Amino acid sequence: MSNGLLPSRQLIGVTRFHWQQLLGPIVVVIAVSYLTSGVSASFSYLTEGALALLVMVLSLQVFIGNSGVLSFGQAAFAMVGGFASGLLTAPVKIKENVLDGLWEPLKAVNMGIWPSLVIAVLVGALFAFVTGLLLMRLSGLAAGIATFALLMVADNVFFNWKLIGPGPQVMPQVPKFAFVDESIVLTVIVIIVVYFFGISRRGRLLRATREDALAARALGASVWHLRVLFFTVSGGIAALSGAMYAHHAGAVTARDFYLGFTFTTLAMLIIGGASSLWGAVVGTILVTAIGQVLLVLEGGVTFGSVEVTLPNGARGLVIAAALVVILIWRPKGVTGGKEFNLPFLNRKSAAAHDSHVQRTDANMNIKP
Amino acid sequence: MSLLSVRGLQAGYGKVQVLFNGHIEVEPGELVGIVGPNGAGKSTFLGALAGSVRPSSGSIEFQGTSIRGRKPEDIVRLGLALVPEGRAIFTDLTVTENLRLGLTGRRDKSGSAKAIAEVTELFPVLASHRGHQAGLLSGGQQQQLAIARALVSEPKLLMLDEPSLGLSPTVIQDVFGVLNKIQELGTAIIVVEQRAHLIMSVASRTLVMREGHVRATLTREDARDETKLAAAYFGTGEDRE
Repeated sequence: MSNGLLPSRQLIGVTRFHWQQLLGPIVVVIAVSYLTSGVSASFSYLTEGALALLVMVLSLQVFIGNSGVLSFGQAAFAMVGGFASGLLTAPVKIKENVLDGLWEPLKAVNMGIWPSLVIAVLVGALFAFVTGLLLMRLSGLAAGIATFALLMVADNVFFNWKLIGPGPQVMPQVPKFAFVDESIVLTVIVIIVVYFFGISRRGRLLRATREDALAARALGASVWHLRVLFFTVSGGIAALSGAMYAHHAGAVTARDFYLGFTFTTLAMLIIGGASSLWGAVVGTILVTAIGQVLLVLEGGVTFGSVEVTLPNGARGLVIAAALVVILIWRPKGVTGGKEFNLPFLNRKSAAAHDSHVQRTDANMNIKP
Repeated sequence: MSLLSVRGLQAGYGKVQVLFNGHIEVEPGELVGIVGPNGAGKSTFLGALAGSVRPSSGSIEFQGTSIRGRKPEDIVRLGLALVPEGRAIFTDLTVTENLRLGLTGRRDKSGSAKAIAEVTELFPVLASHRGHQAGLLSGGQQQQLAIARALVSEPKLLMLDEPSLGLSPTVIQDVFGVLNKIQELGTAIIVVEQRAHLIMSVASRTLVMREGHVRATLTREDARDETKLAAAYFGTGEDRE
């Protein structure tokens, strides 16, 4: 809709509430989840894992999409969340037998999945807040490098410090979600949170700082405050993703949330379109689907008399190639950074909006 | 006491110093112009006052307190608002949404709706376009929106950086007509302009800048004397202050 002739300071992404921008992704996520998880037990397991990844991509979207600052460090918060929720729910006996170096109070504690998820989110958000106070003073390349350093620091700490986790071992016997429904409910909650943060006054201001930092600051927006706020929210959501992943796999290690995890989720966000919530959903579905097809092909498939077998690692190559293609030809992602929108659902409200505008024109008695 | 009192201000970008001696006094409700050729340091001067450019020396006192080195977002809250060059409105948002972004700089958040209503009264064209996308407005309307958005924070001093940029002569008249209305409401204004005659006809005083220095201060009477302006502008003859 924007006029191409004028100097453009577009605020891509949602700016005001449209019910279909929120309900569209929710309906798609619920429908796709139930369709795929209904196929077989292994598909149900796959769906649950994909939902944990989707929550991570949403965590990236709420920060990167709104601030325009690239962060490679959000997986560190997923690590925090996965460890927190895993340690809080694993049976005391297992912890005593397997994790002898663990801090005593952590050994003794045991709670249900839901309270542990809440604690995981709070711990992740706190961790993000504290690190964000420093990191959010940086922008551009410096921010990218510093957040990457954060990831490496977190990985080294969790991989070696046995007081707060299993160290290089696997933390076993983490209770699993009983159904795929828990993951769906959590994902829907995150979609709602991310959506409302995006359209909030502060979300709009943060995107304004991305488009024109000087203009936004001249209006009174503090870039640092806004970034720290969204970094904290993103950290909490990333921790939830890590916790969901732990309760999906039934085990957790530091290496679950390292480079592969970071690369996959960032690829999902960029392929889908970083500046919209819908882009995060589309990217996750697309990359997961492509990955599954290729996984099957890696195992070998027979079409009639022809047997097709892809070499191992083809998956990573294809996703990397898809990322390059997207960055060259469609840098805003396959959704173009736009939110979910079915035009035929809009017709009614658009007509109502137009008539409202005409009425105000008539009232003011001024020619537009 | 002056509303704004600036002495010996120096500023630049990295090692390149642009502003060597910026000084200005603004009384409450006064309209002061700043003119000068390209590269004279006018925008850097405004940027230093608004906090977007960090001054290296000199003093800036606003309502008796020093604001030198403070952050732009804090300076807005003290009541000193800048409308940057090139308008910087957000084209994808509606007129009302742009105005709401301006509320960020208000100290007290009560009376926000009233502030928007008052500002749109000042710019009737914005009232009639309030639901429209800001990017679809004409250049003059966008400039008015940018000024209106700064006014929503109810500044004591409004600074405009080249409001006539890219506008046709008749539209410029509209924009400048609004300046006097804003002044009547008690808001002081500093306007940086390339078009010297335009600003000198409405400002009570106009500073002439050249090569990073404020070289002269001309009154409205001086504006009628072509030679005085030319002398100050091009540096021929004696600098007078």
